[in-house]
Order: sequence, then structure tokens, then C-alpha cells
Amino acid sequence: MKNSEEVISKSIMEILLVEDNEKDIELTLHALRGEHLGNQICVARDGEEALAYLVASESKLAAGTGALPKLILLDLKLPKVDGLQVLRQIKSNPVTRIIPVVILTSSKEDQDMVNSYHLGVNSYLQKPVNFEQFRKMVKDLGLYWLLVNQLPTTEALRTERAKVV
Amino acid sequence: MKSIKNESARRLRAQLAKVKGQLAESEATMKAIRSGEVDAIVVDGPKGSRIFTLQSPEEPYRILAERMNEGAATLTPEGTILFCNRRLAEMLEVPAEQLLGSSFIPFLRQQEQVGFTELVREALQDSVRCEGHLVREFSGPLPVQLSLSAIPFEESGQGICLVASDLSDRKRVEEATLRLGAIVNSSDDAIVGKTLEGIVTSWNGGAEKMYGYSAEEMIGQSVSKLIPAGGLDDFKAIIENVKQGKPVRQYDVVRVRKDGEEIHVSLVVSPIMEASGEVIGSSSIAHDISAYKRAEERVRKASRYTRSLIEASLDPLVTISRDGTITDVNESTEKVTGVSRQQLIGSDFSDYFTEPEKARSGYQQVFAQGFVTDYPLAIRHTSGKITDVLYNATVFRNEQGEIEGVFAAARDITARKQAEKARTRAEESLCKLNAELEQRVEERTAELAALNKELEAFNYAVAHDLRAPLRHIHGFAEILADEAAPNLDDAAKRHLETIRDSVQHMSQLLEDLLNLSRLGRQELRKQPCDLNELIGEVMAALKPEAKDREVEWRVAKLPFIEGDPGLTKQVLFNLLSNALKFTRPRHPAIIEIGQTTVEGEAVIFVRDNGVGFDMKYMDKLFGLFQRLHRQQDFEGTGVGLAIVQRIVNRHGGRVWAVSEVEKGATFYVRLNVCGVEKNQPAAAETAVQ
Repeated sequence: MKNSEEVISKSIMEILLVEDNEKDIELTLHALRGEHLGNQICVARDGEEALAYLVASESKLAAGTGALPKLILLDLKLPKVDGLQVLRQIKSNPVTRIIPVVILTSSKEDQDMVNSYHLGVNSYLQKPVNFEQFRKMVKDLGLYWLLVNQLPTTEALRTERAKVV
Repeated sequence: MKSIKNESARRLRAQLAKVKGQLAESEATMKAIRSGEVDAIVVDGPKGSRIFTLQSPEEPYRILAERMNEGAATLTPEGTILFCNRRLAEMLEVPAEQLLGSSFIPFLRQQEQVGFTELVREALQDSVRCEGHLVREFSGPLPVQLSLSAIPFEESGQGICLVASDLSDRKRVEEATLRLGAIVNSSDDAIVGKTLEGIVTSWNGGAEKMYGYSAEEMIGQSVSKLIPAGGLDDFKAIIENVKQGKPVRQYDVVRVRKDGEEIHVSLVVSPIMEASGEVIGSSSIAHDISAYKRAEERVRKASRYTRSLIEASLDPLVTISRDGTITDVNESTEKVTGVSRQQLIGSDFSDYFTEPEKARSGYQQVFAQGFVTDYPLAIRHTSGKITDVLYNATVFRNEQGEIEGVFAAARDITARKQAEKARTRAEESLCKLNAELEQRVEERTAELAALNKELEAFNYAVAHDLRAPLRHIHGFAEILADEAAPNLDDAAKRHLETIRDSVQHMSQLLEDLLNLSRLGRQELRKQPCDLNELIGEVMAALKPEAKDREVEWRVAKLPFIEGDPGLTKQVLFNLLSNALKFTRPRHPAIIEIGQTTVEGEAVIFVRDNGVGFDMKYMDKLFGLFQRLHRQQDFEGTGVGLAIVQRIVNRHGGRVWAVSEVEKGATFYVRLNVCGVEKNQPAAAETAVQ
């Protein structure tokens, strides 16, 4: 749990990357760094860790000591709690529900896609084999969700959370 | 007139008185003569008195006259009896004494009396003969023949000699003959008399009717014309019998009518004999028995027919009397029992069954109820072989309606029983097989489900886990190329490029494999698809590939087909992209899409003027990962046509190709065209043109 504590201790993370494969983590971070998004990334290496991180960030939000991540990049194949399970938890929690979740996965199985959208995923992307294409995709999605897309302020979220809970 | 009358009356009275006087005198004389008191009588005639004495010269004739068998008398021309013999007196039933001197005329029937007096006058000239009847006191009139002739009297001129012959016997014979003749003539039987030579001497009405010949035609002719060819021997034999006076016999023979028709007659032939006993001919009485013969023949035929039916029956048939004795059997019964007809008839019915008691109660039931239906019994053959049968039996009655016996028909059901057994066995084994099969199917289904699951897992793994390393290789090679570029020579850079190309290819292979695998599992969503629309979409998708190339598309109007739109589009995409790929060396590339008819069925085709292929590799064309061209000439994974074939097969269609190296290729796809063979086949044809 050393890692998760380390992650949670960081104040505001813009992106939560949920990915168990070190090589994928490195390639994703490489791509994000290329777009100068690499510094604001927190990595959870399984579903359990991801959920723990979110519980912690919610507490911080309530305490006024932190904020929720602005984007979650979620792999489907994860040890312990799998990606769809994590998605369900996120979207069934009235507070975390507002966080945009993008599935980033190797498969484009119909069933996975349908299930994901059914659970309220905001976007579904298949990682291309071609790294050039992957880099472009990561750049596009980072720009879109973190710059183009508008999200409520942390203050508004906190107020909203107080009402819901 | 009156005076004349009166005068003749006076004269007649005088005459009468005279005659009476003479008569009285004659009577006295006759009496005297008879009594022997006198020897002679004197009769006064016109020529004076005449004297008749017993001792007169006529004495010998008188004696003769008395002895005669005929009645005889001498009469005066007026009819007075001067003499009569005893026979005449007997005939008249009057004593001779009384007759002498009395008139003969009143002894004749009234209606004959006038004729007689005339006859007497004639007799004075010449002898005459007539028939008449003598009136008698006690008996009826006696038929007689009267012969009259004149005899001279010595003194007083002529007298009459009368001889009366009794005709009553002859008359009786004649009457009987006449009656017999009438009987013979009116008989419907043919009564024919003939000589021993066969010459017809008499031919009655019955014969005329029966044979069609009239008496005139036949009398004097040989009877042989009635005898059919081949019947003459019989005829001769009959005649021979007759000649020998053998007893009368009855013969059934065939005779030929005048019109040629053959008739059956029953013939009775009897000899005709003379008084001496000599046979002089034969008489035959023939009775037409043709109708009887025909009826008999019909009956015989009917009975023969019935019998042959009975004998021909494969079912054992028997008749049984009330006590259970077999009275008749057919051949089948002999066969099924192994016992001969002679032995069967008269034996006990129940002897031939495995359960005699049951057999007995079976026929008793028939006698009681009138019938039994499908009564099961088993017949035992002498060899021990058992035949299972079902009996159907009914009573039969005589003409009086009394039950005479039972008619029983057995139906051999051995075959049926065996069939039933076989069927039961078959059904059992079928059930067993079915159960086994079901179990096997269940097992297989479970296995298949497990396999499917495994396959899905495999696919999932391929999709995720095999792609991930490829992604990594590609990613790090790329990063390496980026970051280490300044330190790498050209060869190293080329090697990195090769790594990335290989990864790309591997990735494409994986992609295609996954697609193919998905096709096997994906459900078909069949609906009418407009091929024109799908072709449009495919061509749009291929536009980037056709870019910078000279491509001539020739697209005919295509039909609607019944199929899964997505998969059908995949087929068209693969075929068109192939065509595009293999026409790359052509300027221009010509790609033709249209519809044609092959063996009466609508077929879509895609034709190109590309590099084509050798038909000897046809079997490899649609195989997975099979390629007919080198990778450096035409890139590919060898999956595209395998996908095409799988999709077409799943639609129940067929895909094939015709090509020649360097001369292009034509791919044919038979799909389920809407409307063809259903609504408007003609319209579909027109659409092609």
C-alpha cells in the first residue's frame, strides 16, 4: 500500500491512470509527457487501488484539502477488481459520477463496449498498435477533456457533495 | 190345292189301311212260319202276291245270312223288313220276329231317314254304301255301315238287301286315334316317327317348333340332318338298340335346328313293331332341355368359379358341421395343417390347434352368435410348425334357412406378428439409440458450449493479450527511433523500421483472425438489402485506395438480396478491395460489377482485368492464410476470401471464381435474391439487362 499512500498524498491530480501493465504505463506516460500532461498524472495499478484513491480524494474534497481527478483513464483488464467493476463504482457514487471516464483498452469487443456505455462511460478508445497513432490519440483526448471540455469548479463540487450526502 | 191334298190324303189313308191289313196278315204269317205252323208266307206286291217259304230255293242263303257277323236284312223298296238275321236283331235290340214286316226306316236316326230312302232308290240301280246310326231301345245309337244292293224277287220285282256292319269298335279306335293324334300334335315335345333307315314318317307340331322344320319339309327326309357332326355314331348306336328291341332308354343328345342353333334334347326312343313283333321303325319323343342345360351350365360354372376362388384363397378355409366335424376344406388348409383333404374332411376341427378347447369354444360361439371376428388361434402343422391365425367365421344356412354349419376363414398373421416383434425391437433399439443420441447431443452441446466459452476466452485473450506486446514493441521501437536517432546509422534505422512493419502486419493478422472468428459466432440478421446501396458504401470506403489510380468502375443495376447487411457489405468490400489490389499494374484498371444467371439462378459477379491466378490453385483460393501471390507484389494476410466464403456459406449461398493468369478474374456470388422465383422473376431478369 506504499504506492497508494504515495499517490493519495499528492494534492491535486488532473488525471488518474488505472493500468496494471508497466510497459503500457510507460508508453502512456511517454505520450502524455509529450503533450506536457505528464506531471499531473496519478497511476493506480489495479482496481482496488483506483477505488481507494477515489474514496480518499472525495474525503479531501469534503475536507477542503483536495479535489477529484479531472479525468480517469481506465483499462478494462485489471487484477483484483476489473475495469468494469471500477467503472460501476465510480458511476454509482453521486460524487464521483461527474468525473469523465475514458476506457483505454486493447479490445474492441462489442460486449465490453456495450457494457461500458451502459455503465455510463464517457468515451471508449482502443489502443492502436501503431505508437504514432497512439500518441496522437492520447494527445487528442488530453487536450479535449482537460482543456476543451468544461468541468464544474472544485468549490461547486464540494457544495454539491454536501447536498447529496 | 185343297182338293188335291184331300185326294192324296184319302189315297194315303187307303194305302195305310191296306198296308196295315197286309202287315197284320204278314205278322200272322210270320208268326206261323216262326212257330213252324206254316211253311210259307205270301206277300202281296204290286205284281201280285209272293210266297216265301223256308224251304224255298233261298234256303242256303238264309242259313248263311243267319251265320253272318254283320246284320243282314232284305227290305222292300219301301223299307219294310222282309227278313233279318239274328245279328241285326241284336244290333237293334229287338226280337227278330217283331222286326219282320216292320219298316227299317224308324230304326235310323231322324236326320238320316230321308237320306236312307233316297239311298234305297239308288240301290235299286246300283249297290251303295253309307254310314249311319241305328237307334236302339236300350243303348245309344250304334254307328254302322250300311251296304244296300238290289235283289230281284221272283214275282214281285226288286227288293233290297241290307248289310249293317257294326262300326262302334272301329269308331272307338278312330276316336282314340284322333284324340291321340291331337295329343301328339299339341305336344311341345317333338314326336317323330321314322323307319329303321331314319327316314321320317311322322313329324308333330312340337317337332316343327323345336327343330324349325315343317312336317312337309321333314317327312320322307332323313332324320340325320338334325344330328350335329360327330353325333352320328350315337345315333347309329341308338338305332341299333331299337333294332334289337332293347328296352326304351332316355338319351341326352344335341340336335341342330334348321337355323343352325344347337339344342339339347332329352330323347326317348321306342321301337315301332308290326303285329308280328318285327321292328319296322322307331318313334322318338324329344324334350328340349337347352334351358335346363344352360341353367345347369351356369350353376356348374358358378360353382366352379366359387370353388376356384375358395381353392385360390391363401387363407385356410373350412366348413364345420354342428358337431365340429370338418365338412370341406381348401388347399390352404391342407398346407397349413400338413394333412390331406381326405383326412381332414370328417375329422374334428379342434384337432389341428395348439389349444383344442379354445378352437371348440370358437366354433360353438359361431353357432351361438352367428359369427366371430378375429378369433385368435394357432394351427399346428404335422411337422410341428405353428401358424398364428385370426379366424373370421360365420354360419351358413340351407334353403329352409336352417343353420347347416360354420364357414371359417383363417388369416395367417405370423408375418404380422413377426413384423410387430421386429417393430417392437426396432422401436426399443430406436428408443435406446435416441436416448444415447440425446445424451451424446447433450454431452456434445455441453462440450461445444465449453469449447465456445474457451474460444471466446481465447479470442478475448488474443484481442487483449497478444495485441499488448505488439503495441509495446511498436511503441518502444518508435521511442527508440525518436530518441536514439542521432546515434543510429541508416542500417539500424532500417532495422527499426522492419520491426515496426512486422508488428503492423502481425497486428493486421490478429485483426483479421478476430474478425473471422467473430463471423462464426455472430448471429445473422437477415433482411432485404439493396446491393446498389451497399456497393456505393463500399466504393466510398475504398476511395482512398483508388486515389491516384486510373480505375474504371462499371457498375450495373443490382438486385435486392435477403441477407445480413453488415456481412454482405463485408463480402462486397473484400471482393472489391481484392479487385482493386490485383489490378494495381493495370492502366486503367477495369472493375465490373453486375448480375447474371448461372444454371437458372441469379448470381452477382465482380470482374477485373487484374493479374488473375492459375485455376490449378483454385482449391487454395478461399483457404485461410492461403495466398497465391508474393507478399512483396501484393500485400495481404490470406484471410479476406476465407471471410467471403464463410459469410456466403452462412447465407446458404456459394462463391467461386474463374480466372486465367494475367487475364483478370471473375468472382461469382450466389445470394438469395429477393423476388426471384417468387414474385417477379422476369423483372429481375430485366434489371440485369
